[in-house]
Amino acid sequence: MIDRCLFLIKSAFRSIFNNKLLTLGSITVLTICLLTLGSSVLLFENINLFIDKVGDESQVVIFIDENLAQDEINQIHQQLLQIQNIQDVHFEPKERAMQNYLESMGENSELFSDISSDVLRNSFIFNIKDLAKFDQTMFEISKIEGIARIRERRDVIERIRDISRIVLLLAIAIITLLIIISAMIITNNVRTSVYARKEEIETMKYIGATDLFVQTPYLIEGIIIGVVAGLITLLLTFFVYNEIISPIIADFGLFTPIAIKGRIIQFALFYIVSGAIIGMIGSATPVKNYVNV
Amino acid sequence: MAYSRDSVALKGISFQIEDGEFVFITGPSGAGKSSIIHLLTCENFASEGKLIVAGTNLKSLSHRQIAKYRRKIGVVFQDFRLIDGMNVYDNVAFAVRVVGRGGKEVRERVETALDIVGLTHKIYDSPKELSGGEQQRVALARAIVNSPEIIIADEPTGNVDPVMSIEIMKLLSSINKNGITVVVVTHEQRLVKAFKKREIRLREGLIEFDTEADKHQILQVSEEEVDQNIPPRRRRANRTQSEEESE
Repeated sequence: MIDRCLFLIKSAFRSIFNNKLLTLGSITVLTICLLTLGSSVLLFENINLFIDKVGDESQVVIFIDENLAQDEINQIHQQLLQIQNIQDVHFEPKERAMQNYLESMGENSELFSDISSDVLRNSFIFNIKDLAKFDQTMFEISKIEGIARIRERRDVIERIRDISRIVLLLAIAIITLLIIISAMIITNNVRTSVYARKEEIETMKYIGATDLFVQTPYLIEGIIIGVVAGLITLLLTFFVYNEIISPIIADFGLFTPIAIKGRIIQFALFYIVSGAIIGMIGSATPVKNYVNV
Repeated sequence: MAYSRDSVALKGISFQIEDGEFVFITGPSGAGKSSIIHLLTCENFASEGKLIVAGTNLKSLSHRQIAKYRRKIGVVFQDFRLIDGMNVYDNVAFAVRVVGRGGKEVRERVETALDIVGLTHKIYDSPKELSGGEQQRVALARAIVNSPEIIIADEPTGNVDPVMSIEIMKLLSSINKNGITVVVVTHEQRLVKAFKKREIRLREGLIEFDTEADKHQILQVSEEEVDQNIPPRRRRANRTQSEEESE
């Protein structure tokens, strides 16, 4: 059994070395496919991060009834803190609100300098953690007594939610398409390689080899090609993402791109397993056509 | 045996080969020699009738059983069909590994087979480094390495020089002396005459003659009978073709 396994593995390596150019072609194509696949995953992860960031900055402001005493305001604060889907709750007194307003007027602030802060209301400002639960959270807040008005950017939040949904669907569609394209390219490449060895396969069959015996070295070959392509892609991803893409995103200053340094095992597994599976499927399909002799 | 509705390669022929016999199957191009090889190696199947080889009815074999049947026969091809990326040893050893043998047994069997064909000194050479005759001897070693019941040789001397042709035939003859049935398909009458073995000569899908017909039960079906045995659709196609020809 061990002898048989060693022979099949040796046959796979023999085939790789005897068809160096075709093997190199397969590895190159698979590396490009995996790199595109990995880059797409990273791109969508960053887009999602950006959307989350924008979502985080969509603040909700609740204005407090001007007739409430400080105790009652404190009570509202406590009630807000008990709502799980909100974060960064802070109180903004009407004086501070007026100051902010004047600052926002810039050079024209003097025109409003004699207006009393009493025209404004004290408020609480906070962010929503999970935008998907926005409506439910707003319902909970509306039940708190003493709130005069709620200002929320429902339209912005709904648009962000729509964009998130579209990005997710787009990511699934593009990644699925890339996997199919990769498998097709590999199949085509291996088909050329297998066609060149059509006679060899036929000879094996005439000697009495079973389909599995003929196919196994090709499957091993596909896995080896996939693993090698996966490792090359891993190195390329780390270099290209860390040295080129990540600094460019950071330069825009919109958000900090996701870090992949701590995710080496996750990425290695993703590339190697995807490479091995695509390589195996790509190899098995064309060989199947020639074993029926 | 028919390749298509319009192409009937063997027309109801019947013959029997005894265990340990040496038989030449001869005939001009298109006589049906290769069709017999295709039937014996299960590359094609008889459209009608029965074909029993080494106790196996080839018509009832499943895809998986074909592989097992092929291990009982040794096939020698005109173009040798050696695997270029393997050396002489691996080419012969491959056939042993296919039948599930491993370890020391592989080496012993390969060395014995290569000894029989006189190529032990070329054991690690690549097939590309060998002459046509030597390549055919490696193919012969591969065919005998699993001690098959039958050797089927398809034009084994087609790609070798006349001197080597005699050598190859002598080797086949000596293998036959060990009790292995040998079926050689050839168009070289010179060899057939030199070796004085049974000859079944084909012409247009029928047996023209069998040199030892008196020893064997030979059933030859007439062309009219063949026509009657062809399924209606095929018969219609044949009739249309003959009508076209007469027109």
